[in-house]
Order: sequence, then structure tokens, then C-alpha cells
Amino acid sequence: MKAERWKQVNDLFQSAVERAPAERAAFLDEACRGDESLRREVGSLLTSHERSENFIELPAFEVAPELVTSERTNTLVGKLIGHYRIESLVGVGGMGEVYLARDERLGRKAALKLLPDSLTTDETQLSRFKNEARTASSLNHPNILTVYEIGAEGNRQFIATEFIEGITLRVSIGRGRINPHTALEIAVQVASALAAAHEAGVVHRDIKPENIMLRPDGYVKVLDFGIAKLSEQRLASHDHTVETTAPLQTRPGLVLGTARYMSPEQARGQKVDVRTDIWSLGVVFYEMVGGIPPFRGDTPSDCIASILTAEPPPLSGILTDVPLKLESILQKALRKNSDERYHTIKEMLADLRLLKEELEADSSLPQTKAPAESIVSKIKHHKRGMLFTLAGALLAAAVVYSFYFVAPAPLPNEKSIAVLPFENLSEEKSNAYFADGIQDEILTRLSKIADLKVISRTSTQRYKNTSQKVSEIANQLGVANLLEGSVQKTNDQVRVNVQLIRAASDSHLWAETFDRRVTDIFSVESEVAKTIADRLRAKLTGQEEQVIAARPTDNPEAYDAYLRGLAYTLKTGNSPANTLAAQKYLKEAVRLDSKFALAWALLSYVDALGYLTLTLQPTVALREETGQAAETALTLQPNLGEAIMARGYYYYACLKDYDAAVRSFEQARQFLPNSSQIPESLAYVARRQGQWDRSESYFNEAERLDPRNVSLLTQHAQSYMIVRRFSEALRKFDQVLDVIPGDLDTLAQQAGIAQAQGDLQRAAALLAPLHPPADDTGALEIQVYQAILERRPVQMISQLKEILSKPDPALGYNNGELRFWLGWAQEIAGDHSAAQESFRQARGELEPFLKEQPDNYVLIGDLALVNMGLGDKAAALDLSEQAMRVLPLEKDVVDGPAPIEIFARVAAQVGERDRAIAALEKLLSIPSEGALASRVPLTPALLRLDPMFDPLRNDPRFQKLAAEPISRSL
Amino acid sequence: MTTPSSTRQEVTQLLGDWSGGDDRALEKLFPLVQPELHRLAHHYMSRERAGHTLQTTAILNEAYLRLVDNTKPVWQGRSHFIAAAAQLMRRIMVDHARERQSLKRGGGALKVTLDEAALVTETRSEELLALDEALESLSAQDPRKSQIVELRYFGGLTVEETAEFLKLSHRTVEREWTMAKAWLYRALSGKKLDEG
Repeated sequence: MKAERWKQVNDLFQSAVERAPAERAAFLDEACRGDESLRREVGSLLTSHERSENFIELPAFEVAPELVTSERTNTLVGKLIGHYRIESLVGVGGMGEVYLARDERLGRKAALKLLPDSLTTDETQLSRFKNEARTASSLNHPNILTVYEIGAEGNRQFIATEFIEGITLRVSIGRGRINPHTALEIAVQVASALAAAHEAGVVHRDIKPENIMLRPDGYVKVLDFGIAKLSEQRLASHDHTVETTAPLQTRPGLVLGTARYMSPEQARGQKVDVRTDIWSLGVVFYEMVGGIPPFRGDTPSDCIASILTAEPPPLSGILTDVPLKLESILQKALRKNSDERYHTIKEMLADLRLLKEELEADSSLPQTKAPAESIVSKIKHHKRGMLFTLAGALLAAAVVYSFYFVAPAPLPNEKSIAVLPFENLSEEKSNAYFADGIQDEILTRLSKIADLKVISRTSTQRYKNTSQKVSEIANQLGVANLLEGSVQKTNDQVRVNVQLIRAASDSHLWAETFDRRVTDIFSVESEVAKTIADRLRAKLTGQEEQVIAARPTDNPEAYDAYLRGLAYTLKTGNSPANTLAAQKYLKEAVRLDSKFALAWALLSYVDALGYLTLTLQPTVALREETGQAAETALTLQPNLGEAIMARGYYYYACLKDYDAAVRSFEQARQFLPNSSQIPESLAYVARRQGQWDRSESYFNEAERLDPRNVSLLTQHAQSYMIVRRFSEALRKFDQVLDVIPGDLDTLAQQAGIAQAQGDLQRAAALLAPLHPPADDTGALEIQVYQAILERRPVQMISQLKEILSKPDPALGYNNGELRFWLGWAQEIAGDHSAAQESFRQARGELEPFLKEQPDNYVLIGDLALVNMGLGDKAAALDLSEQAMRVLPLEKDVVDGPAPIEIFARVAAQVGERDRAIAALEKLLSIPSEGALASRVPLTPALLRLDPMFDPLRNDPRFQKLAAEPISRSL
Repeated sequence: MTTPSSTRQEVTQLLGDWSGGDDRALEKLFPLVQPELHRLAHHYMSRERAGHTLQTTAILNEAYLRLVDNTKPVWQGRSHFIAAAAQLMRRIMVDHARERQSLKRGGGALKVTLDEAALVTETRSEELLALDEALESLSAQDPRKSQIVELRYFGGLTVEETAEFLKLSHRTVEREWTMAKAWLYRALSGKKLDEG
């Protein structure tokens, strides 16, 4: 801006600011008459002025002191401190740095909190540090951070504690309001921790979301008893109070985050006792449920004024359906006069528990008692384009943080069991499928017993080859018992060894070795299942007895083929290769024994899933095979739960007959009482019908049964994505990453969300380290889209060319799709003739598939885009309309919007401006899955960034759609 | 802990040079002042957790007392020191934020923590870097506004202190600050806001 102009803006701004807000607009209109751009410039500064009141008012250092205090270079990594090997820096706080370390003596992870060198000479610091450690270590409670050791190495003082993987409650709240169920669960656990502390005479005094960690397995841990201190005075004087160490007269500089959770007596610098923790927990609870803190102020002093004088706005004004009881608990915790509050945390805890039980009883969710597994539940299930291959193993060590909080039962159900992956002891490593199969069969048999709680396969398989202790595993899975086993197969002989272990005592309840012929394997499976049921004193119905003694086939070869097919379905990735292999072996199994109902059912399921997710080419023939396989299974064995499930899946995936699908799933529930697959499938169906809330409850139900199921979590995340609840989607994807750290497709998906949020920088940062393999077209396309949004696609062009120089025939029409992306990238790079050549080639690659896959709306959409690129307006419009007909919105609210998006894109490019805008208006008003790359729905940010919409930019209707207020402040 | 008198003399000398218009003097000041700021910040911050105040000016004042040879008072030595320190503070924080950002990109997300700091600072770093960048653009357009922000936001100076240092009226500083804030806020909001 020219200096003269700047001065003009400056002067006008100053004059306007001095006027009353209501008069400013008129003043500007008058002063800027005839100079629209001046009017806009000053107008936007004024708008921003009105919003920027508190912006940067607090000096940077007071907001982010850690940017000055922490060591600049992290030289400790790799060093040994005590017997702890430092692995990485994880945090910096007032009390020094926190590192992730490995305890070399015990081989476990630990968090090491180090006091910096420069401060060990500071006596006050040192004693504070030690005090923190001693206080915390004197408390032994599952909801309080466990301290392993307080030590020193040379001059370095340290505390080693348990390493908590998870997030702080602050972060969780930052991602959005927490539902009342979860909030209660968290509050109950914090209250239990405080009850233990208070009993030991310790008042925490700094309960706030930053000091509450949420662990993936549902445990809540209260941290930082640093400013707590043993109330010696209390012991001495019996007056139940302790002195606040520092009366808070110095309020202006106080960090706001701390002020918000202070009790009135704390704010006044008066004596505090256990009731101060009750207050702070009340504040935290309010904020969890309401999403905003009850006492607010722009400065700490305003905040304190609010604490001392204001009544918090009732939650019912913020949320609907707030239980009255919840409000009354809050009122009682947030009494200004501490005498009127709960007197002890135990009273509050009792009320919280009661409310929790009431809510649970009221909950409309079907109360399925035990997580379990059915045969069909093992197949990962991904939407095409999202997670083509879920690359990488599921062997991750991390556990999933379940937003909906699977509360760990304090005492696990005695009748609960997890069947861990069996070890393959065969000489032939290729016999691994057999060990996997046996484990799965035993697990499946057990899961059909309603009186048992059996953890799903999808949640136990990450413990393959684990060195974790039995007690830890049981704790993470919330079970009392574990079954371990090994299988050794040589020719037609098999040796199966199993050990049933009670986790609490690490003692064997039962161990047995079976040496049998392979043909006799079913008897081993049913004997094992039967014995376990006996040992755990499970009651069996007559039908259940039959089911666990079942002999699915008399043909050992057919069974072998079935086990091989099953093993492929158990693999992580629902990739075309895995699906094809599973299909091949299952077909072999039913060829060898045409009466093998279970194999028919699994075949039907594999086909249906391949059809739906397009990991198999969705031909008419495939659809027919799916239906026939399900019918055959049902005819052979009408009461086979897996067969009924398979039929439901056929209705759902192939016929889109959702009501029939729901009926089948509900019927299957009788035979598969504990299967997480049932609510999972119901969640998918409800979603397709646009019943988002119902779908959400089914997802939650399934996750309670199967909390570490990556595919389930991914689907749940995608649901959030479709309804544009991006922060919740990101959080779910984070849970996936907790199970499979660094998973390429999940990270790519998160990048897709960043793109939709208009944050290209974040998207780029997420994508930069990813190197998707050539067959992971989903992730590749997200990368190309990024390059296109950034409008610098040169590098991607050469990468795509290289991939397409040797196309993988197994990818079918996806090669043509990828070539469309190449053409688009070339177009953006300005190389029109190369782009035309790519589009022509893409058309040639796509068209042949159309005949076999007349219902494949993605394929049709790709063809529409390609024709659009070639300038064939009529064909492009025609094809995009055809895609909308194939998949009308009424039929499928999840995928249905995708063809509309294609249409909007085509219309925008070929000059059908009105129709393009009408389509976009529709799309932005409904939940939808996007048509391209990440399948993230269109957002105003994408409209602003995506070059395909450039022809619409001058249209005011488009500008309105693309406008989105962004607010951000330090 | 006392600062060697040689350091004090050097700092004093450099400060004089800088206020005399030698920009390179600031470069040389950086390594001398940085450790002291770091140490003091740490010290104050740990006290903050026990409920004490955390004030930028207090730290800079203390650094001044420790680092500058006040046996030979220089005219306006203190305010010049604070002005230099504000710039240094900015640099320290920005460098740090960058480091954290690169750590985050290279080494994966800092997801795991025992303490809120690691998590919160990710966004703080990001935002601080964005602010720094915006401040840079503001400085190209209107150096005085940018300097006022630097003194106030990074140096912790009040309006009065800023006015005193810049030899401007209190009111002018207030006005400049108001517009600078609006301008920066808009720059950080990612796009020009429509009115209303």
C-alpha cells in the first residue's frame, strides 16, 4: 500500500474508532463516498478491531513462557540417567523437562521429569521438586500417577513415573464439548483420586484440565500433586485446613488458565481445605459438559471477580437435555461459601456415581453384555478411496483412547477372557494361517456363549509376539483371564497347547496339550472352548453347547482351505490382494465340500464387502455370487448366525435394501449374542439412511465391545467427517493412530481434513513425510489434490507419470482415475497439450470397465471429469447426470452426494453456472462424502482453493458460499 | 550469582553502540543476554506455579540490573536495554517456536505428555510464528506500529513506558497500538473480514 493511502486508512480508522460503534458504518459510508476499496479496507479493520479486544494484550512471555525457558537443544536423547535411557523430549513445564525414557533394568517405559542443571542450585526449587515427588508417591491409587522413583544422577535430580499415553483433558475439551456420559465417567475417576488423596491428608489445590490425563484405555489419571502438600497443620491443629502457600495478591500476572479453577477462598488467599478441590472439580465438570468455563473473564482479575460474585450460566441454557441432577451436583459443588458445598469429596463422588447409573439405565442403547466376536467380524472394512490398503501391521503397542470412554471395570468380570494370538511352532512358517485359524475358531466358539465376556479378535490381535506382562494385557483389555496357546503342525499331525491364565495372580487355571490328527481338530477346538466355559463357571444353554461342539465340515482339505481364506480376512488391509486371496480359498473350500455352510457364509461376506468397498470389481456377476452364497449357507444351516449376518450384508451392500438388512442383523444377534459386528453393521446401515444419531449410538456400542478395532474407528471417524464434525473426526483418527502409529492412510486422511479446513500448511506438513506405494491410490490422490490446491503440481506430475508407466492391472479402473489426476495436474501446471493427452488416455482406460460395472458411480464420475477435461461438454454433463441416477441421494445419503459434487464440478467448468451453483448450494447444506481424493466433503475453504471452481469466482452467489468467518487469536 | 564485570562492561558498551545506531551491536548482545533471560524466565516461571506473578518487565528489569554496568550510568540506559531486550525476547521465542515446529514435523506429533506444556505449545508456536510474520509485514508498511507492538508484546512494556521510550504521547501510542492490533488480528484471521 502506498504511504499516502496507508495514512488515509490510518486516519479514517482512528476517526471511526472514536465514534460509537453504531455510528461507524454511516461515518465511513460518508467519508469514503466513491472509494469502495477504501471503504472495504477500513471496514474490515474496524470489524477486526471489534474482535481483537484481548488479542495480544498479555505479553508473549506470559502466555507462552516455555518458549523462553526450555532448553534450546535437546542433547539428552540417548543418554543414560540412572538406569533410564532417554528416548525423547515430550514436554516442558514449570518444573523442568519431561522425557520419555526406557527403564533399562525393568524394560518398561517411564516418564522422566528432570530439574534443569541451572536450577539444581536453587534450594526452593529443589525442595519443591522433591516435595512434588514425595507427595505423589505417598498416594497409591489407580487414578493417580504412579511414581517409580525419586533419584539423582550427578547434579541432576529426577522423578521417574509411569508413562501415560493419552491426552490431557484440556486437549480433549479443546476439541469440543464432552458428552455427559463421558464427562461423568471422567469426573467419577477424578473424584476417586481426590478421595484417596484427601484420605491421606493431601489436598491437590490445582485441579484443572491440564492436570487430568485421559488414557486410551479409559483410565483417568490426576497429575501434579506438586503444589499439594501434606497437611501437617491439619494433623497438628485438627482444623482441617492448610495454608495456601502463596496468597494470590499478585493477580495481574497470574496465568488465566490457573485462575479459572480457583475456589473463592483460594482467590482471596484464604485458608483452603478439601472443599477447594470439590469446587475445582465442579468447574472442570461444568466445562467438560458445557464446553465453556463457568467463570470467565478476559484477564485473571476479571475472572477472579466472576468467581467471587457471578453465578455460572445454567447448563440448560447451553445444552438441551441436561439432567436436572447434573445441574444440582454442579450447584452444590460451586457454592461460593465452602460450608454450603459438599463437605467431602466422597459425598460428591456418591452423587456422581448415582447419576451415572441413572443415565446408563435410561440410555436407549441396547445393553449388550459382553464384547465378543463372530466369524464375519474380522474383515476390515474400508471405504474405497479412504483406506484402500490399511498398510502396516496392527501390532502397535499403543492403546486406543475411546472418546466414549470404555470405563474399565474396577474389578474385571470373573467370566471375562481374551484369547491371545497363538504362536506358530511349526517348522513351516507358512503354517501360520493354521495357528491363526485355531485361535480364531476357539475365540468364536467362546464368543457364542452369552454368559462369557470375550474380547474381540480385532482388539486382541495386536498382542501377537508381545512381551508385555500378562497382568498389563489383561488390564488393558479389561479381562480377568487370558488364554495363550501354540500350534505345531506337521503333515496331518497337530499339537495344540493352551494355557488358561488368571491375570490377577498370574496363575494357571488350566493347561493342556492336545496331540491329534488334523482331521480331529474340531474336537480340540470344542474341548478347549468347553473346558474354558467350565473353568470360568459360565452357564451354557443347550443351544450353546451344540454350537461350541459344532463340526463345520467333515472334509479336512476343505477346512484347511477355509482356514487359509479366513487368515486373509484377518489381515489388516482390506486390499484388493487380500480380498482376492480370501475369495480364492473360500471358493476352494466350498468346492471341496459343498455343504460347508460356514465357508459359504464367509465367502458371501467377503464378496459383499468387496462389492461395497470396491476392493473387488463390482460386477453384476459378483453381486449374484454374493446372494447365492448367502442363500446356500442359510439353506444348509438356517440357524447359523454367520449365515444370517451374511444375508444382511448382501441386502445392505449389494441391494441397498436397508430395512431387510436391519432385520437380518437383528435376527443374527440372537445367535451371535456378543458380536461387535452387529452394532457395527447397524451403524453403517443407519448412516446410509441418514439416521446419524442412531448410527452414532451403534458406533458407540460397537466400540465398547471392540475398542481397538481400527476399521470400526476409521469408519466412525469418517462418519464425523461426512457431517463435517472435523475436530471429532480428527480425534477418532488420532485413536486409529494410537493403535497403528504412523499409519499412512490415516495421516493422509487427516491431511484431507486439513485441506477441507483450508489449512494447506498443516495438510502439507502431514503429507510431506508420506510415501504411499503405487497401489495406494487413495493417499496418492490426496497428495495430488494438495499439489493442485497449492497450484504447484510439477513434482507430483513426474511422480504420477512414473507410477502410470507401469500400471498395475489389479487396480482396474483406478489406473484410469489416476491418469485423470495426472491430466488435471498438467492442466494446472499450464501444460494443456499434455493434459489433453492424459485425459484421452484416461478415457481409453476407463470406458472398457463401464460395461461390466454399470452401477459404479465412481467410474462414471471419473469418465464425466475426463470428458470435461477434453472439452466434451455434452458427454460430461450426460455422464455426471447418469452418475446421479445410478446413485440417487434418497437411496444413499453417504455416497449419494458424491455424484452431485461431480456434477457441480463439471457444470462449473463447462459454463453451466446456475446449475453448478444450485448443486453446490445443495451440497453445502447436507452431510456428504466428497467425490475426490480424501472424500472429505466440500467446504467453503475448498471452494476458495479448488481451481476447478475458478470459473465461478466472480459470481456473488459463489462468493457467498465460499465465505467463511475465521477467527483466531493468540 | 553475579555477572562478571567484563560481561557487564561489554553489554553496556554494546548497548551504547546500539542506541548510537549500530545495528550489529544487537547481534553481539544476543549471546550475552540470552542465557540470562533464559535463566531468569525459568526462575520466575517456577515461582509462578506457586501462585506468583509472571511479569515480563520484572524479568527484563532484573536482567538489566545484572547485565548492565550501572556504576557508570548511561543516559536512558534502562529503557534502551529494555528495547533491545524486547527484540531479543522476540528472537528467542520465535527461534524456539520454529524449532518446535520442525520438531513436530520431523519427529511426529508430541502427543504424549505429562504436562500440558508440550501440547499447548504446539499451537502457541504456530501462532507465534504467524504473528511474527505478520509483524514483519506491518513493519514494512508502518515501522512505528510494529515497534510499539514489539515493545509491548515482547518487552512487556505498558503504554506509558512505551510512550516514554519512544518519546511519543501516551495517546499516540494508544492509537497506534489499537490499529496495529486490528491490523494484525486481521492478518492472522487469514483473510480480510467483511464488515459487520
